[in-house]
Amino acid sequence: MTEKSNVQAVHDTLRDEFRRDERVIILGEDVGVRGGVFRVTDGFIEEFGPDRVIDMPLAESNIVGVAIGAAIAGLIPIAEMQFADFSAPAFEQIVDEAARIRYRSNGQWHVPIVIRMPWGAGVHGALYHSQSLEAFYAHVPGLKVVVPSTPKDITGMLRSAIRDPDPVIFLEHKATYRAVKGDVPDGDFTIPLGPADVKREGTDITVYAYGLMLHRCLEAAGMLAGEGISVDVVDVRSLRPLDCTTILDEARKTGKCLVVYEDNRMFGAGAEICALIAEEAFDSLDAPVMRLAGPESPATPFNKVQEDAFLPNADNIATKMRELAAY
Amino acid sequence: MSVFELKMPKLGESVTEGTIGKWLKQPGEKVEKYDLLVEVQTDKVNTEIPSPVAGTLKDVKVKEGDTVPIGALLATFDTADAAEAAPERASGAAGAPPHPDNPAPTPAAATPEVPSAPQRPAAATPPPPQAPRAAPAATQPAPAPQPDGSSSARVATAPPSNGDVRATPVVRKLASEHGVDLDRVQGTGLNGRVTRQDVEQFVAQMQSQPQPQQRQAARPAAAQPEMPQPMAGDEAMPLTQMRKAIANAMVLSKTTIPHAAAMMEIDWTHVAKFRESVRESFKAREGYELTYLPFAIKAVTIALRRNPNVNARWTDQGILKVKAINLGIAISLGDEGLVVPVIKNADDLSITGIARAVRDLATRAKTKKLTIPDFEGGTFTVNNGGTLGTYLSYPIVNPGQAAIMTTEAIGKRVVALDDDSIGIRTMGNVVMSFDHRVMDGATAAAFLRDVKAWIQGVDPSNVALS
Repeated sequence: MTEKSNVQAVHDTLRDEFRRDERVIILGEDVGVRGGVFRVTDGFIEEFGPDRVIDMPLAESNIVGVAIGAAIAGLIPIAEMQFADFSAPAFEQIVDEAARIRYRSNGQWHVPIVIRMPWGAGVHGALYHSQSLEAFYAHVPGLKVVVPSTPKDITGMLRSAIRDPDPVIFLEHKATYRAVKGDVPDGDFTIPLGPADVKREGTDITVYAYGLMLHRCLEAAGMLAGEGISVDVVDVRSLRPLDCTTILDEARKTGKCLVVYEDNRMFGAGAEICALIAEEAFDSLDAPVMRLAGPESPATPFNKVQEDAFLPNADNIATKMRELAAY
Repeated sequence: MSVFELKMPKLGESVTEGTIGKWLKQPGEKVEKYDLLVEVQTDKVNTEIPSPVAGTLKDVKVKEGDTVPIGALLATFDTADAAEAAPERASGAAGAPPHPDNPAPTPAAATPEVPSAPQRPAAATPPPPQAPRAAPAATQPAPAPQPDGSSSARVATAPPSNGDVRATPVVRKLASEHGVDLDRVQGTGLNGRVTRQDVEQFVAQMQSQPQPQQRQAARPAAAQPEMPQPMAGDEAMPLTQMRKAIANAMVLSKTTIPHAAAMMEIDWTHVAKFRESVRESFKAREGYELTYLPFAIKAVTIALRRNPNVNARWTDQGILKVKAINLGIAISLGDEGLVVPVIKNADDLSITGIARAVRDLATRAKTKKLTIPDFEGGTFTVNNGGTLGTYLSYPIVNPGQAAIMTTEAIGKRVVALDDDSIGIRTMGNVVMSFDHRVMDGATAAAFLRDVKAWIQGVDPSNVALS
């Protein structure tokens, strides 16, 4: 057992996979000489050489397109989007090509790539460095989209992603990179892509979240424990596949559900969770399924006061939890 | 020809069920509007339900002795004319003049809830949606039309539908699974909404108690779910609604009110003389004897005025001193039980007025004509055990009140008088039980002293009969 930060977990897992399998390569902006803007590949080019740690031009469609080609040719590429926000130019490659090659070729070809994307707000990153894009990708059959946010989950799920035969969008919340630390078991364990994880057991209300919001929900749940409200917190660490069983089991347990996400509320990934609960757990509901999410704003503001107002925080999550508990 | 369905009316606030007594009309018999149809016993009153329609009694759905919830189908009628029942609905019921020969025994029995089932052709249409609150089985699959009504026996035992109660899906489901009437569950959610936990707790409470349909307070025999095996010659007596109601009230009082008592001896000689002096004229005017009780009640109203802390009730938020003086009068019905109807604003009445009120209540108690309002609003109770010969009794405070006073047997005794002579006086005890949370012994004694002073001070020059 070793205590690590989230970013350390990414770094160590990538390094281990690089050492384990020579087919693993990484492509991205500043991943080589610079060692990554978040230092995720610090020391990689020195250890593994420029053939496996490849600095790419500022052309994300190219990064993903090359990765797809290399994967089909037998390598295991990891494409890094320096910020998830920059993946828009690669959208066509990801959605039209990577996600569909297995289907299009009737299973003859597949694309074992991992597209890593630091995402999310809360680091004063403004319009181009704060976005949530999980809903765009989670909408597409053929992709796996995971959002782990603890060092252990990142380690186990990044290993699974790299070893998965199909494309995985691996989202790393950048505000948790250094803020979140935790123990990581030693050894070559994996965590499957799919299962949600109940991070806190509770009996009064069930709260679903992922990424930075998971940690804020856990903080709020701790506040409410002192008030006698027992909050069940489910980490929806995989959006596609979505762990419907766990989500519904936890919904039926309390009958009162809140989904928290920092993306724009309308059409966000949390809306799918709400719909699932409403459709499948209707008989168990004791309150309307509630949501707390980002406002109808075109982007995350730069100004700190406004950014703080944009993002759900432990205080207003706790307020929403109280509202639900009292219903 | 139409079919009319008679359902168990809601006979009063907090009345949830009734026991069917004798059917006064038999199937096939012609029934006029307002004819009395069936006797119903509830925990508060016994009454007869008058027919809201004219027609022929077709089917009786509940047999004598069965207890059914409010809204249960009691009987069906073929009505001669659909128009016959309509004016009754429109007339607003409560104020509708009853048939002179058959006065509607309770106002509640004539409320729109009774005759509200819509008129409809007999067999031409499937059963229409039932009036939501009045239909325990409304969410059951609608049965196929059954002219002989054989399917409706289920009605009385089907779980409550909670048809028009707003509830979340899980609450609705749980209530239906456990047969819970959501009206009876105390809600702790937003705006008093019944939450899942509320239903679960209610169910747990029901299951921990042997008789789920009984109200919370009716637990005197909770530890003894079955009647012990009778020995030869023993007779098992099922509980009447009245017996159950008395049991509920007494257990509630004895388990929640810390009782204390005070007794005082009163010289009734002046009252006795006064009674003697007006005996003939009173009887000639009123038609019955003037007893000691109206004097005791008059004394109580005056003493309550002087001691407002006695005309009060305990609440967890504080003691509520009640302005109105509404006196419950305990009236024995022999072995059957007793009832405690209320004289409202008894302090407004003269001695004659009190005598009339007592006689009215006693007469109606014995003829089972008391109605729900007769039992409401009591603030203090007077019990007249002395007529039965008791010298000392220990009454139980009526729940919701702070005290009860009983007058004991009044009779001549040898008494040492103030001038050290020995005299023969008409003496009697009064005993008051009181809620020791509301008052202490000094208050109780002050009250009894005022009762005593007024009674001993009676004389023709300062007391008027009317």
